[in-house]
Formats: sequence, C-alpha cells, structure tokens
Amino acid sequence: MKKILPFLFMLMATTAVAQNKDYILSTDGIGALKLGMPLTELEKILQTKVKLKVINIDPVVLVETIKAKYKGIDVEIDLWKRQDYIAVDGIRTRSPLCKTASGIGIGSNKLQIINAFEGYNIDILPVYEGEDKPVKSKTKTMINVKEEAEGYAILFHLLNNKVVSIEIFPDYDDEE
Amino acid sequence: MKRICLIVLIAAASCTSAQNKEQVFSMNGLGSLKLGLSQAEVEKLLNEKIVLPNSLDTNSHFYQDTARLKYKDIDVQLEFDRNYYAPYKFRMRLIGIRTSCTLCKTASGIGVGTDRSKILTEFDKYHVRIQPGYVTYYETEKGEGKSTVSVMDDGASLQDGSDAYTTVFYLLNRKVVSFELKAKLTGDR
Repeated sequence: MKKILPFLFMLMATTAVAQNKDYILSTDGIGALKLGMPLTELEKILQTKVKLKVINIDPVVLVETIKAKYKGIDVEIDLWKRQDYIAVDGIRTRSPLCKTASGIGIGSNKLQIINAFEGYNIDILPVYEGEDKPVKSKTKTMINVKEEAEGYAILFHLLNNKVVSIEIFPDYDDEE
Repeated sequence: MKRICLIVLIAAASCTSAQNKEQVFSMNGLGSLKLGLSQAEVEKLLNEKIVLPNSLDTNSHFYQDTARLKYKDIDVQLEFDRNYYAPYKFRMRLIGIRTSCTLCKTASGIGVGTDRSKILTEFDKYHVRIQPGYVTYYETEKGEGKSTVSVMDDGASLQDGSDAYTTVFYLLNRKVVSFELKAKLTGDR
C-alpha cells in the first residue's frame, strides 16, 4: 500500500497538469482550440461532428457561430468560410478554468491584467450603451490585449472591474 | 510697514498662483496655450514670431509643422496643421503641445515623474491605450522600459467626427518622462 500511494499521487499530479494545459488561455486560443484551425481539426478536438446551419447552406453568408463543449467547458466558436476551407475565427468562454499561464482569467481585475501583460499592446475600453446617444457604462469595461499592434487578441469583458467573459479573435485594422 | 508687507505678500501670492495656473494642463491645453489656437494667436500669447517653413509647401494638401519654443519659461514643442477656412486659404492651427517640464501637472497632480498606476486610476473612465516603445504618428521608438500611455476622450475613442483630444504620456520604467497634448479638430476656428 505504501508503495502504491506515491505512484498514485504522481499519476494524479501528472493528470492535473495535463488537464490545465487544455485550458491555457493565450492570444491564439484556449488549449488545443486555436484560431485559424480548420473545421475538420476542430471536430477532432471537440470529438463531435459540427452541424452547420448557415455556411454551405446559404451561399452568401460566410460566417457562423456555434455553441460547443470543449473538454467539459462551454464555448462559443465563430467560424469563417475562407476560399477553400472553413476555419475558427473567434472563441468565447465564461469558464473559470480558462486562465493564462500567469493565472489571468475569470475574476481577474484591470490592474492584474495590465501587470500580467507588460510589453503588450493593451486597450482599456469603456463600453458605450444605447443606440441614439451612446452613454458610457458605469460598470462595464473591456480590455483588449495583443502582442503586436495588429494580430490575435484576447478581449477581457469586465463587470465592476472583474473579468466575466473572455474572447479571442483576430484583430486587424480594416482600414489599411 | 505692515501695509507694505501685506502688498508684497499679495503680489507674491498672485505671481505664484499665476505661475501655478500656467503650469496646469488638461486635455485641451497647457495653461493659456490651448489646442485649436491659430498661429497668430499663439504668437501673441508667446510674444514671439513663429517660423514654420514647411507650412509654405503648397504641394501637400494636409500639412503639419513643428516649432520648439518657450512658454512661460517652459520648453515646449508645438505642432501645427493647416486649417482651411476657404478654398486654397488656410491658417496654421495648434494641434499638439509636447513638454518634459516637471512643473506641468494636471489639476490632480499627474505629470512628469508620475507612476503609471496613478494615471490608470486618475483616468479610470477613459479609453486608455498602453503600448511598448515611444509611439508617435510616424514611428515607434523601441527600447528597454519605454512605453506610451494614451488617454483618449470620447471624441478620440469613438472617432465619431467630433473634436478629439488625446493626452499621451511617455514613460520610462513606468514613470512619466514627457507628455503630449494632441487634438484632431473639426471645422474652422
């Protein structure tokens, strides 16, 4: 029994590390879920066939959002039909399991995010509400983090200075 | 004697308060030096003729020029752009003020030497952009410890065509070393 316990402990610790890697948040995705990933690869990761309702059915529409389960957590995935394949173009989650390597995720505050991403391009954005005369929200903020001025970004949505949801997407200036 | 001392004290306080007033900056200017002033108005304020050689270039439609001057003994770099008030007729208009003077501070004390965290707290409700290096419109000067923190008002954040003001802080190791007040202005002034 004494010989088995250390072995069991090591096995559990290794499994825990492997599970954490599944939820590591970065500018290119969550764990094995990556921006730009083809639909065929996405289906392998999700271990399920994705049923499209719009793309490939309506020839004009090139984007579609699906809800899925990735390693037990709820995610929303934006799909975009490129010239010859459909690819992941955005990922959203509210799961507290998803954190950056330095521990930033659901529940983190503005200062923690800014200090964790030293050297990155960071936009702290007020949220405007209302269509006719937009008014700045007193409770909502967004923080957009990118390695370069343009590229893949993590967008943290905050409510009362706490992250409540996370989005990863390609952020390029359309005007250029 | 008492009356003379009182007069001297009042005069000293006025001079001191005048100096303090001139060193306070906000998003739209430094003391009396307000973004949007015409070249002629700035010359009158500084009591000095400003030479802007590039503004005479008629090949370029939208043109900017800078001048290094003193405002109330403060070294400033002023940026002007063309403001057309009629076809082919323009005035040069002040759209940027840059300084590294330690005497210049916001009403709440933000200025050269301030830590980044204080800027973020002070401008908590604004659109704030943090970038590595010293970022200007034309280039980014990279280097260890260098960063730029830009604070944008609603006009600059929404880019809805209204006047837009941005205060740009240049930091070294998270401390402000210089700042610039910038404006994108609509309409003639």
